[in-house]
This record gives sequence, structure tokens and C-alpha cells, in this order.
Amino acid sequence: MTRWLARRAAQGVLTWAVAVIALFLLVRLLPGDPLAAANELPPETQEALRRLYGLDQPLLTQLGHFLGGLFHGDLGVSLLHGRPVTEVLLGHLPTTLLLGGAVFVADFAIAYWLGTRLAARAGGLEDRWTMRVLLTGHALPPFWLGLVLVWIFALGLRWFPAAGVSDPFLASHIPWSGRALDVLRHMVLPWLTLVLTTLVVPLRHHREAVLETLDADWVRAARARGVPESQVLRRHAARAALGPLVVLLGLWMPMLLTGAVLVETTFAWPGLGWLMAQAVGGRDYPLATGCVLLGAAAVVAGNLLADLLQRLLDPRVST
Amino acid sequence: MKPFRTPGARIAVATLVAFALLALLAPWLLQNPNAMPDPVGERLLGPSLAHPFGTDALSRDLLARLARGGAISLQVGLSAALLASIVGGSIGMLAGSAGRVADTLMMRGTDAFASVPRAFAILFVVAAWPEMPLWAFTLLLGVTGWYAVARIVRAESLRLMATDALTAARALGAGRARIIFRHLLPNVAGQLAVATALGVGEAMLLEAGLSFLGAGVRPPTPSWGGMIHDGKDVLLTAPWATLAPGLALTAAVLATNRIGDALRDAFDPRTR
Repeated sequence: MTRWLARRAAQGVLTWAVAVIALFLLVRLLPGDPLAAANELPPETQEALRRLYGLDQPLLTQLGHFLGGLFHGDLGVSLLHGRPVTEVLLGHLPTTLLLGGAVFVADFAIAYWLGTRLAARAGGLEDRWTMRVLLTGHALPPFWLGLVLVWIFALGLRWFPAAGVSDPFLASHIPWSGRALDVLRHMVLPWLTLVLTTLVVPLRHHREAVLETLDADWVRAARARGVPESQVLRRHAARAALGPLVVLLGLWMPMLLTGAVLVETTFAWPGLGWLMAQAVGGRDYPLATGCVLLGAAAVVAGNLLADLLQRLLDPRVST
Repeated sequence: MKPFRTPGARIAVATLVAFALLALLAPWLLQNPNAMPDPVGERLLGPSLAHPFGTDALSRDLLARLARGGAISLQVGLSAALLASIVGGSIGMLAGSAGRVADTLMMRGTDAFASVPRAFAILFVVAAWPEMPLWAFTLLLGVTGWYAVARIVRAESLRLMATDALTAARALGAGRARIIFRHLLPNVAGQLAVATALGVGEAMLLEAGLSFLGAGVRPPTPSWGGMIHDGKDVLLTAPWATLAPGLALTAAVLATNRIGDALRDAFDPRTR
């Protein structure tokens, strides 16, 4: 197990490194230029900047410098923030983990519970309408749904704040519980937006997996032994379908991060996605690089976690 | 055609045809999407006979922009999904038929590309190439969308390669090209069609999202995402400027997804 984990982790790091190098080369080979923001400066200044960032060096030397810096955890200095990129990323990571974690728990818990329930009622009215509603949710542009929710619940009904992660005018004597509540109130709308637009993917997957196990011989055997139908469903079929649900984690992660770029921007939720959009808008090339590296690392970690969980759930799996 | 017998699939096809017709007939029926006849007096007009969807903050007719933006959205989505299916299908079939070493190398490569979330990859390129033209943006959407297709097609190709029919074909001396084009391609074509249809909606949503961020279709070219971006600043006074493009986009994506599901039901009878 330990050896397997070590090998899989090494594979993950290699995957990530290949992605990083490919992106680095891709951007350098395209007609674009990391210093595009400096186009209007005098040529001498541009030359100096080019030398400062090492852009006058041969491509391979640049790649070597970049990887060397990466190895030391040095990603350069963010142009927008004026601080090291690593510091900026670490500062915004908790915000994104909070929102992403809450979406993760909701997505997979609801998918497991509701997917099992719908599989038992497959083809019925509840099944058909729930799937219809959630499939529509998946077709909604997340940023647009966010705006509509803001329009209704923040600007119209004034139930929730429209943007940000906490109220800047909160009195300083408010205890931590009040502050936590304030953050939660800010999180409701972005959380709802992400859950509504992503939920159907794990849900549909789980529903189909349960449907498949419900046909299996050993489920029929359990029924024949007189196990009540509710137990057959919850104890046997749903648990056996956990494997496929866990596998989905690897696909769900990139979907969440792509959604996060748009939803975090819509709600000014200062996480990784918001940072990425900000970096692109502000032509902050080092920061954009850092965001991509972290995003790719998150996906690789998600895949690794999915493999690990799958192996723990089902010892027969040998990937 | 068989997949299009259900009412849902018919409505989906009708929706897309309506969008296409609207875009095709727009030059005769509607005004120029970029025309600003009276930049001050006709700002943010509500829906009326002259402007069925109202006007935006630059007093441009929203219906005209909606029609033109839809055409661009569909074009970009369709081209990107087709490109993704061609790349993904080729790599999937090559990996599935090339033997273990080549297969492993190709799939590890796919894993590496797939580890960069799509929006991040595109935004990253936009960061270094801010004046990216529309064709390059479409190309980029396509080359970041093929990983799932490649995995599906590879799995199916591996399964096919193990069948007696393919063993016989190889025993008779069929070369790589013949195996891929005569044996694998016809058998994965159904799944490729499904993946393409589902990929269109995904690409359209991503295109709109990136245009919303100002990293996709460039203004003044109308796009649904860009229109939502313009509308959000006047959400309280002119909600139609945000609602109309969002609803149009949702309808179009629902339609392409429904067609994808109909194709899936037709080609893969196992799913319910």
C-alpha cells in the first residue's frame, strides 16, 4: 500500500511537471508576450524589463530558471500585489478551500442520498422532474445564475450580501462566532450557484451506478433471503455503487475550478479563481502562472485522492 | 432519424434551428447589432415594439445583438467541439490500437494536459496574448476539450481490439490505417457523435464565461457572455439586458445537451 501510494504520488508529480513544462513552452511559442502590458513603454525600458525577467535568454535557459525557482518555491513577484506570488497564493488558498470544500460536501452527500433515492424510483414522476431540473441547472451559465441570485436575494430581498467574503464594517467587538456567521452568510449565494450548476454530474453518475447494481445477482440473492427492500437499497446497492462515485472525484475537481473562476469573480470571493481572473485582467503574468500551477496541482491531488479512496473501498482495484 | 422521435429532442432541434434562422435573417429583419442611432436618448429602453428586448447602455438593439451573438456562440461552440472530437478520437484510437508502451505514453500525456483546468489553461494563454483573435480562441477551446473524448474512445478501442473480429483482421494482414478507419472508427462513431454534441454545450458555456471575463470574444463583436457582462452593471435598472442573453444561452445549451442525450440513448441502450 505504502509503495503503491509512493509510486502513484511520484506519477502525479511527474504528470504535473509535464503539464507545467508544456504550458511554459506553449505560451513562449505563441505570438503573445508576457510583457504585453509594457507595450507602450519606451524601447529601452522594455529591453531592461526583458533582461530583468530573463526574457532575452534562450528558451531552454528560461525553462531551467523557471523550474529552478519552482523547486525553491519561488514563483517570482506578483505585479499587481507587489509581493511574492507564493505568498499571494497561500493568502487566498483558505478562501477557495472553504467554498470548494462546502460545495464538495454538498455535491457528494446530496448525490449519494438523492441518487440512491431516485434510482429506486427510476422512471417515476419524482425521478423525471428532479433530473430535468438539475440538468437545467447544469446548462445554466454559472456567472449568470450568480447574477440572477444576487438580483433576487441580495438586491431584491436583501437576505444575503451580494459580494465579498466578510462585512468590512463589522464592529471590532463582535466575537468570533459572529464573524464566522458573517462569512457563512457571504458564502450562501456563491455556494448555491456552484452546487446548482455542478450537482447533476455526480448525482446522475451515482443514480446510474445504483441502477446497475440493483440488477446484480447478489442483490437479487439478498432480496430472496428476505432482506427488506429499503435495506437492499441503502445497505447493499448504494454502498456497492460508492466506487464509481469516488472515481468521479477526479473529473469533478477541474469542473469545480473552472466554475470557481467565474463564480468567485461574480461574487468577488477572493479565492484562487478570482485571483486567476484578476491576474489575467491586470496582465500579471507571474501571478497567472502561479494560479495555473496551483490549479493543476489541485487536479492531480484530486485524482490521487480518488485512486486512494477507490483502493481503500475496493481492494480488487489495482491501478 | 431514430434519436429524434421524442418530443424533448424535437424541441431541442427546433430551438437550435430557430437560433440559426434568427441569425441568418437578422441582416434583413433587424438593425445592425453595433448601430448606435441615438447614443443618449435610446439608452436602456425597456422592451417595446421597436426594440422587442430593449436596448443596452450604448442604446444598441438587444435583439439584434442577441441574434448575432448567438450565431457567434454556436459557431465557436460547434467548431471547438468538432475539433476536440477529431483530436480526441484520433488520439484515443491510436492509443487503443498502438500497443502497451505507446498507449501508456499517450495516456500519461493526456493526463498531464487534463490536469490543467480548462478555464485556467485558456486564461493563462490569454494573459500572455491579450489580443487573441476569435479563430485562435476557438482553436484553444478545442485543444483543451479533447481529454475526455480520448479516454472514452481509447477504452472502446481497447475493447474492440480484443474481439475476434479484430484478431481476424490483423491475422489477415490489415495495417494500422485499415484497422483504424475500417474497424475502429465505424464502431466508435456513435460515441464520438454523443461526445461532440455534449461538447458543444460545454464549449458554449465556457466561451460565454470567458467573454464575460473579457478574455473571449472581444467587444464590440456581440457575444452572449459579453452582453451579460455589460448588463450586470445595470442589473437593477435594466434587468432585461442581463436576463435575455442568459436565458438564450441556457436554452441553446439545454438544446445541445438534450440532443447529446438523445444520441446517447440511441447509441448506448444500456443507459436509462
